[in-house]
Amino acid sequence: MTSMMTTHDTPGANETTADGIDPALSAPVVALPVKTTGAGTRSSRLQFLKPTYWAPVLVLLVGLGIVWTVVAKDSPYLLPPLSAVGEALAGNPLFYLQNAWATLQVALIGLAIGFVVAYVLAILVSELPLARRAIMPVAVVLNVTPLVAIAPALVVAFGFGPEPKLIVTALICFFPILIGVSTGLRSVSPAVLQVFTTLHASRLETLWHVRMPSALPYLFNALRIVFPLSIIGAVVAELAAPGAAEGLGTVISVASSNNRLAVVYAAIVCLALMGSLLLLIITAIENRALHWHDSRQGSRG
Amino acid sequence: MNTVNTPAAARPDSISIQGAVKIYGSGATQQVALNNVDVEIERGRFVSIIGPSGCGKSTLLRLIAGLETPDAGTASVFGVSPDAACAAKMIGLVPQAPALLPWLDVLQNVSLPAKVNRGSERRRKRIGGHVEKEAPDMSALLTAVGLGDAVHKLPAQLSGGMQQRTAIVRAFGLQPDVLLMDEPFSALDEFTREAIQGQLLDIWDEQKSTVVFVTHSVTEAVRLSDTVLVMSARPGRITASVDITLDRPRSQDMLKTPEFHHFEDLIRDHLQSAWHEGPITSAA
Repeated sequence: MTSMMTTHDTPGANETTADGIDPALSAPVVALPVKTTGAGTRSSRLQFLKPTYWAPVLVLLVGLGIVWTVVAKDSPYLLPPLSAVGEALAGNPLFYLQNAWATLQVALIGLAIGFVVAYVLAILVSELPLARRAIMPVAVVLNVTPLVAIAPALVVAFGFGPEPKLIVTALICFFPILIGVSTGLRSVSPAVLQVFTTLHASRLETLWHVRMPSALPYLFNALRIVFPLSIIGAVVAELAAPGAAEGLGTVISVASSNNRLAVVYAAIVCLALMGSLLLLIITAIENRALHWHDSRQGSRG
Repeated sequence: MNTVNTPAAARPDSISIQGAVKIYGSGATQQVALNNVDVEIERGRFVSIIGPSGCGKSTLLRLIAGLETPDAGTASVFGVSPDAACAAKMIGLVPQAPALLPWLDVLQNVSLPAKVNRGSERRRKRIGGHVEKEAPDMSALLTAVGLGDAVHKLPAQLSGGMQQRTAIVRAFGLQPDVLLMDEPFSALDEFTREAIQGQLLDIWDEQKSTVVFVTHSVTEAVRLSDTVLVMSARPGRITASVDITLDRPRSQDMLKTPEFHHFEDLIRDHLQSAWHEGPITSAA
């Protein structure tokens, strides 16, 4: 963290960061979100305390809450009262925690499988043109195929166990990582490669010392997309397997067929919180791992 | 690589380019980057290559670095092919951009070359033309070029001049037999450039490497070099070779002396006649 501080405190480091992202970094499919100065700096830490920082979102939330309450009062079958959602959560927190944990497990294991497969394929694809020509078209077609449609077929094939859920989650996470990492591995500047060519560094050495670190910013951008996506994948699979024992997706499908709207929304609240939490974690890791990348945005050279 | 390195071309005590031809593209867009170029650079010399844009000076450098193979002719570095020289880590390259790795600090950046291609030691010993030297203390080398306080800084925290000095130390750190520099100071301001030239000469004096230095600055070429090769474009060829007989060490003050200006004028004349000899279309 100390190094991050000094990085941001250097003159020029704060100037370009707002929109100073390297144009070469915008991958074709995984759009790289602009890195904000945010996360690590002292000033932005204090910003959280300023009313100008948190007031706008608070006003919006209160406004939405009022609209929700008004609508819920007139037509309780459209929206459940917020109090009912709160009661559902507070009345049986263990129930939601257990189901959230089941969904989270599927999401994270599926993500891990998708990550490993995508990373290995990304290395293959970036090192071997032949593999690139074979794998990329298939990956693209897979990506545009709606996975919601695949899920029921997988349930038929694999039953109500964890397999179809893991496959759907892994498939959803696969493509952004493949594209992000394979783009990142090839993002090394020609001058750097020439230096390592004259050193006669082996392909493996170049991959390890140069290409893989170069791909890290791309990888983290992919992960920021894929972490919340993994939850979506898990829930989609659970919804497609209505006989499954647990998971927030199952809670939603059972509760909605019983017209228990408050429970449905309570589960949705849990999912939204889980997604946000994962995003928060991955962003925190990214800010630690990529402090050098952050600082590059403010390069004076 | 054997076709590149015939026994006749392999001279153990010099970098030797003979009858090198390099052609880019084909048909109407064909461009002759190098046309029958002969170069002989003896060990320990500081040789600059100067010429207008597109005269093939970078191509010549890349030929020595083994990054390009000639379409005809031969290239050899101290008796072996450029490729074999790279495999033995006999060649250090300083490209135009510093090309540092942004996630490594200065010390890690300059130490990385020692960590790759570990088989090079063995290969070096088998090459007769190679002169074995002890591995230098990187921290000392960094301190010598004024980076002593910056060893643990990231490249993004350095100025352009400091980044380029880091790249030079990285290349010198391998004790290469030949250091290839491709317009390394072209992005720096005049003042920084002159200061770093001095530091480069200091390290070179200590390490006794052979240096091939591509530049488009006449002053830079005269100050640094033992010999300046003047090139002309389309087709790329060497039109003159000027030995700079000024005394060393060459301080910044020497830049103001009449002797220095004499050599500058001499090279400018050569450049101008090279320009007029070349086709008019070469306005770059």
